[in-house]
Amino acid sequence: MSMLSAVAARVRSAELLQVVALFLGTLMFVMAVRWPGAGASNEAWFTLAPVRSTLIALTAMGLGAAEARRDRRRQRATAGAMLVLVAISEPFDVATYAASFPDVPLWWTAFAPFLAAMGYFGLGLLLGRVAAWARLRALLMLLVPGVLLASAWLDFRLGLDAFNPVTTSLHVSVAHVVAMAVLTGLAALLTRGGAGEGDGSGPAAGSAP
Amino acid sequence: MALGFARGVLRRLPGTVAVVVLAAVAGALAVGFAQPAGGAQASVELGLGGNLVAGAWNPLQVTVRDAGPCVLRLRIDEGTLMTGPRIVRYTAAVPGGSGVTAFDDDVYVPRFQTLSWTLSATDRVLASGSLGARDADARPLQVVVSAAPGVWRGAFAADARFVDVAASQLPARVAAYDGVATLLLDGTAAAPQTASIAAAAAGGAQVLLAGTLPASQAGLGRLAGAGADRLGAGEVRIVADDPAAVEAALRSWRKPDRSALVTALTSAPLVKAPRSAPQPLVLSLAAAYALIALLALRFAGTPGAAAAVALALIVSLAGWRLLRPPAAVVAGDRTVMLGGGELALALGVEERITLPAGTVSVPGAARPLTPALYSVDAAGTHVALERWQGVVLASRSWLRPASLRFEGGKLLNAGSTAFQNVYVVGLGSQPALQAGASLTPAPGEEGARPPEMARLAAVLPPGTALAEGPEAVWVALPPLASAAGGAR
Repeated sequence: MSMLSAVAARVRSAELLQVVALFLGTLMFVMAVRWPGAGASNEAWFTLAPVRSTLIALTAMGLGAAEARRDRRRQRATAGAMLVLVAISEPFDVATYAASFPDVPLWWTAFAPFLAAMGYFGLGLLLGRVAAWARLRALLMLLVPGVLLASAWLDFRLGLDAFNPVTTSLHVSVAHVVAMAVLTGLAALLTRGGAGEGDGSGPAAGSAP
Repeated sequence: MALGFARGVLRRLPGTVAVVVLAAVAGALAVGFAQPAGGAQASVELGLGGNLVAGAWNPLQVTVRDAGPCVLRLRIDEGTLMTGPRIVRYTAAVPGGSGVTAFDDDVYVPRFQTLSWTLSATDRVLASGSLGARDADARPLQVVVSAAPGVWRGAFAADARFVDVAASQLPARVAAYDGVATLLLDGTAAAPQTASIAAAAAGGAQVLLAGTLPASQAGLGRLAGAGADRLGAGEVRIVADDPAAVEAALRSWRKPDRSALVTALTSAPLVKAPRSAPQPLVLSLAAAYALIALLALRFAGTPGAAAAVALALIVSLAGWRLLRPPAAVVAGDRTVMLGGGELALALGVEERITLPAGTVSVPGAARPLTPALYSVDAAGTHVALERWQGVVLASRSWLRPASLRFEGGKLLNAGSTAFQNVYVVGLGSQPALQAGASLTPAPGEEGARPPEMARLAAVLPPGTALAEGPEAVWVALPPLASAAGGAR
């Protein structure tokens, strides 16, 4: 099975299809709430972009954590599925961007979510392995948002825009690119190799949160 | 301590000398002056003869001697106690060189808290100065050009801002007279340029020529026609050499309310902000896209995933085309040509709405009609705006030959294009006026006028003609009934 087929199969799975549907449904809800009436200024992108960015971070980290003990081929397919999810949510971002005229350049809002998806997926893989080592896998549902909040808090404390998905979606941030590039490298490192298990121990992990 | 020393010195000086010293000190305060090392001299004068009018366009004169190119920077804080500092900046490049170089311009000075300026060359400051809120006098100037100005003081109200200036200080630019109510000449001082007097009248001032002018100033009398004549937004009137006659002329003058005209012009938006696509349409398309993408992912296997990604790309491009407004900045402008006699004063307003946050620029000097951070330089006027914000700017006024004017009791189209929606206040609508044609105003139909014309007509005196040209609304003020009493 080629990598593309593996990704397509992974996206087609019931668990991921539900994630995709929930993701698109949330973006539609945001558009329904924030799209302006006649004559008003269009601020829709300023809500949609942070929501999308946060959802991407949560989903990617959750999938990474959940897949930490799966075989590496499946991990790579899940990462590919995550990229598909980012790609098919792009029109929502572009549509609201076009109407809202934000200051952030279009290339950033088009490029950053893909990098963030891979970065947070790598962070999720790492989190999953650490949780398995510490025998805290049962707490993954809490650990994933907890780590995201902690990294956002760290951003705030250090005055950086590296991890907080809300702020990094609204401004071009070199720190974010560097952080996500490092985490993407980590993801590549952790999913490198054949079809062996991610951490080589324990039963297969559950579905995404 | 320095003040005490000065008091001591003045006490020891004879009275006349003390007055001269005080006058020199006062002059130096009004006119920034410096003689830096290296022999270069520079002076900056803001306001007519150094008399600044807040809330009006003021003449600015920079004179440098034996200095290289320099830059004048004005920093005006027009903030209030409520808003905090709000800085307006003006920058001008002053060409230098050996000998004397003069630079003239007109600057809008709002009511300010502080106003400071620096004139700097590459390596040093040539002149600088500042004014405080107490110097922001908004009263219009009553200007007298006379060898004995005190004679005329009684003709003006006690609280009037009576100033005497030299004829050489009168600029030949209409905007420079924005803050001038009256210009009185009695022929006893040096002769001013006719162009300066015409500019003063056209700019909205009442020019009074008192008594018999000497032969060297006979040209000025011709501006008054048979004794009194309109010129642009103002008038030129010959009066008797008597303060009582001047006082009567001042009382009879009804100055056209230019600010009311600008308000009437801008009471309706000049441009419309782009409207976002209707929400039901956007949501329907988004739902259809999401459904198709999900179905492709679920049922079409690998081709379906590829198709979903391709569809995302196509929908992104289509959404961009559909939802992106055609321009980031929407612009509109309107001009009223306020004509009297053969000259018309152009009052232009421009509106800009910017969708992204940024700086909106218009060519030339202008001022925002609503509070805004802005700067003026050689490239134009620049206003900093937030997203989806607009600003209305009033341009510095300029002169044009009056295309619409009264001549021999008839309304004449002296321009090259036809006028539509011709209307005379108090009489009603008139037929369209072709280029070169004239008509005798007659009672016409009241009512069906464009709203903009109706708003303008409401602030103009009876007998005023209005017409819509392709580039502006033209206004012809009615001829003065006759030379008022007191004319010689």
